[in-house]
Amino acid sequence: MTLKLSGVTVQFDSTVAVDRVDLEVRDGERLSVLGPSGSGKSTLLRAICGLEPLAAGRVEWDDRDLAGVPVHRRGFGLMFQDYALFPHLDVEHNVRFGLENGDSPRAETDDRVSEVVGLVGLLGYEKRLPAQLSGGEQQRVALARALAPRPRLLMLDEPLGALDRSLRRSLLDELADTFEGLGLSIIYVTHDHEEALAIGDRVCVMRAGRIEAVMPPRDLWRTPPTEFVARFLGFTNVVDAHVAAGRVATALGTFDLHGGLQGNSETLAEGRHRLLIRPDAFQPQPDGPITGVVRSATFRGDHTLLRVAVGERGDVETMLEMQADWSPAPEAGDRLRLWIEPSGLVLLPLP
Amino acid sequence: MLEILGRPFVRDVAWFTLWQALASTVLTVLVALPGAYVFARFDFPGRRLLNAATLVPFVLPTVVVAAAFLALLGPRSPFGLRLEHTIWAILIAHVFYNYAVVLRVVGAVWAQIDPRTEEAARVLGATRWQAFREVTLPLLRPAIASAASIVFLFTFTSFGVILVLGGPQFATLEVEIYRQAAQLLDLRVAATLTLVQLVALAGLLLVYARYQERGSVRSRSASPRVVLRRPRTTVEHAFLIANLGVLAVLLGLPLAVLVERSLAVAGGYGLDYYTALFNQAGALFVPPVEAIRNSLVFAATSTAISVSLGLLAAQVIASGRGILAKAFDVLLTLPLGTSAVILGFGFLVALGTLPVDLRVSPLLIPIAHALVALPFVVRAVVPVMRSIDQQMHEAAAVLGASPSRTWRRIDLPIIARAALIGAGFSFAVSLGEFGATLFIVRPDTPTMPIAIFRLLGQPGALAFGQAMAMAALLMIVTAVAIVAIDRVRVPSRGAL
Repeated sequence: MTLKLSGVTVQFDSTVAVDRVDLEVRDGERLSVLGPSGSGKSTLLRAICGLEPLAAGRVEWDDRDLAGVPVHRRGFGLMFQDYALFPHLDVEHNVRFGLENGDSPRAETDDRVSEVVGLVGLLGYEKRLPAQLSGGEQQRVALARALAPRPRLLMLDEPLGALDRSLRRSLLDELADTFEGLGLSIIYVTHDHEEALAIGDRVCVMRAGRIEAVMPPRDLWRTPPTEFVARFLGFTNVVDAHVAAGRVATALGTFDLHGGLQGNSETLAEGRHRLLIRPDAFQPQPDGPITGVVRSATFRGDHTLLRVAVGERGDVETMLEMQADWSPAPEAGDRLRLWIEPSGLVLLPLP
Repeated sequence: MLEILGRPFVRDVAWFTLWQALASTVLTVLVALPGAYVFARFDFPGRRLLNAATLVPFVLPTVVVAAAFLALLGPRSPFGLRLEHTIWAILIAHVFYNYAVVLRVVGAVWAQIDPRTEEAARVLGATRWQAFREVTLPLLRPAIASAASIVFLFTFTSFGVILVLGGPQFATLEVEIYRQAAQLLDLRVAATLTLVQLVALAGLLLVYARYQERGSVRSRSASPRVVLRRPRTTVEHAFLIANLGVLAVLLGLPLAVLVERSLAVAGGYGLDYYTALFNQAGALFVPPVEAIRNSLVFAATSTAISVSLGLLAAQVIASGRGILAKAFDVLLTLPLGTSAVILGFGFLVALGTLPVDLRVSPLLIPIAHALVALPFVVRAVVPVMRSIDQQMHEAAAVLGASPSRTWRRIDLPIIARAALIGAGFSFAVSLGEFGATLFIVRPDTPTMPIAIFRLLGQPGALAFGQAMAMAALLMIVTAVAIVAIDRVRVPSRGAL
C-alpha cells in the first residue's frame, strides 16, 4: 500500500511543470504538498492519477508500475480544486457515481452513500443539485464523492482554496478530524502553510517543479532547511552569516556556534551561510548588544508585531520583524536594547 | 432593378420601416428601463413569478399578439378604443413584444452593478440623478445598446403585427414584400425589396455583433453579487407600484382582453366560439379545428428535423476550433436575424428550380419551420456541450468510470436536457410561425396562425370570435411549451 514516485517529470510544450520528483507515500500516511502557485503541485497530483502523461520517470503502487493503467482503473481518489461536481446529478447521485462501476449490490451502495453523506454532515441534502448548494456544501459533496469508493489513496487539490477565510478555518479542523478517523493515505495539496502543517504527517515543499524539502511539520517549522522554505512559512529575518572558528559572525553581532543554534552538518561547517532569526527570539535587555528603533507596532493579541530598524551606525539599516510578548509593549519610535536567544537562530545554506 | 429602387413608394416603405423601428425601440427602452431597475434592485412578493411572466409576450406568436391588440384597440374593443390602423397600435404592440428583451438584457447587467458604486457617488456629493447619470448609466450603456439593437432588429423585421394592426396604409419592407409577391404577384419588385432588406439586416447584425462583444467584456469585470432589498421610502414604494401597474396594463391587459373576447358571446359569456371551431368557416376551406391538428403535426415533424440537424451542427460548432466551426456558428444564427418573410419568399422562388418539386410535399412547411427553429436548437445545445469541461471527464475517470460510461452518464444526460429545451423552443416556434408559412401554406392545410389571420380578415362577429378562441388556444399551448422548457432547464454550475 505504498505510492512511490521516481524521477517523475511532466512537460508542457517547452516548460517543465514537474521536474524529476522522487517521493514516497506510505500506507496510512498523510502528506501535505506545499508550494506557491505554479510550483507544479497540482500537476503532480494529475500525474499520479494518470491525467497527465509522464515525460520521464515512474509512478508505482506496491512496486507495480502504473504506466499502462488508465485513470479509471487506478483506484485513487482526487478532489478537484473547484470540485467538478456533476451539475445534472443531485448530491446523492454525485456521491453514488463512483460506486456504480463495480457490481456491488444496491443495498450496499445505498449504505455507503448515506455513510459518507453523513460523514461530511450533509444528511438531508441528498436531493439537492450542486447549484443549490453553498460553496462550503459543494466542498463537502466533493469530499464525500471522492471518499465513497474507498480509494486506496485520496488526493485533494487545494480543497479549501475556493472558500472564504472563516469557513476555511472551521472546515480545516473538520477535515483533520475526518482524516484522523479514516486512516487512509492522503496527499493534500495547498499553498497555505497553516493547512499543510495542520494536515500532514510530513510536508513536502515544492518550488518550480522540484521538491525543496520533505519533513515532519514540527521539524519544518523549527528548522526550515532552506531560505525559500523559511520565507514561504512566513519568516522574514534572514541575514548573511559567516561561520569560522566556532563563531557565527553577522551584522547583528557574533554568536557561539555551539550555544544552541540550529543547523545541519553542511551549514554548521565553516564558510558563508545565511542565518534565520525567528521573530520570537528577541528579548529586551537594558544592556543588550543590539539597538534598534521601532518603526511600527501592531497589536496581534498574544503579542505585538514590531518592525524594528537595526543598524550599528545608522548607515546600514536592517528591518527585522519581532514578536514582542513582553510588557509594556513597545510603541513606534521607541529605542530598544535587545539580545537574541540562540535557540531562535537557524543556519541556512546560501540560496 | 434601379428603376424599381427609384420608385417613390419604395422610398416610403423603407423610410416607414426605419422610423417605426426607431420609434418602437426608443419607446420600449423608455418604458422598460424603470422596470429593469425594479427587477434588478427590489425584492417584493411575487417577484420571481412576475419576472417569469414578463417572458410570455416575447414568446407568443405574432399573430396572437396582433389578435390580442386588435381585441383591445380594435372595433370590438370592450373599452371602445379605436386605435386599429394607426401607428399607435403598432408601437404599443411592439413595446408589448419587446419589453422583456430590455428587462432581461439590461436587468441582468444592472443587478450585477454593485449598488455601493452609486452610494459612493452620493457620499461624494452627487444627487440621485447625477449618480445615476454619471455612474450607473455609463455602466449600463453597453447593455442598453445591446438590448436596443435586438429590439430594433425585431421591429425592423416586424411582419404579423403590422399586417394585422396596420391596415392597408402601413407597410414595412416585410409586409410590402409579401404584398408584392403573394397578392400583386410582382416577383421582381418583391425580389428587389428583399435585397434592400437583406443589406439592411447585414448592417444591423454587424452593429449588433460589435455591441455584443463590448458588452461581454464589461460584464466579466462586474462583481457577481446580486443585492436585492425591499423598497423602503414612500418614493420607492410608489415607483415600484407604478412600474408593476405599467406591467399589468401593458402586458396583462391585452392577453386578458383576448381571452375575454373569445368568451364574450351575444348576451353574456360562453364557449360558443370554441365549439364553433368545429364548423366550417367561410375564410377557410376546412373547419378551424383542422388547423390545430395541422399545427401539432407540423410542429412535431419540424421539431424532429431541427433537433437532429441542430445536434449535428452543435457538435461541429462545439468541438471545432477552426474557421469552419466559426463560419458555421455565424451561418446558423442568420435565420434569427433575417426575416421569416424572406425565408418564405426564398422557398417559393427557389423550390421551383429543384428537380423534386417540394412545393406540394407535406414536408415543405415542417422543413421551413425547422430552418427557423434551427438556431434556437443550436443556441440551446452548444453552450451546454461546451460546458462539459475536461475536468468533468477527469472527475468521472478518477471515480472509476470508463470513457464509455462517462459519455453515457455525464455527456448524454446533460446534452439530452439541452436538446429537450431546444425541442421545446422548436415546437413553440413552429406553432407560432407565420411569415414564412403564409407564403408556402396550401389552402386546405392551414396552421393555427394562418387560420387566425384568415378569420381576422373576415367580417362578422362569429369569425372574430373564432379567431379570438383560436388565438387563446394557441397562446395557452405556447405558454405550456415554454413552462415545460423552463422546468427542464438545468441550473448551471455555480448559478444560484
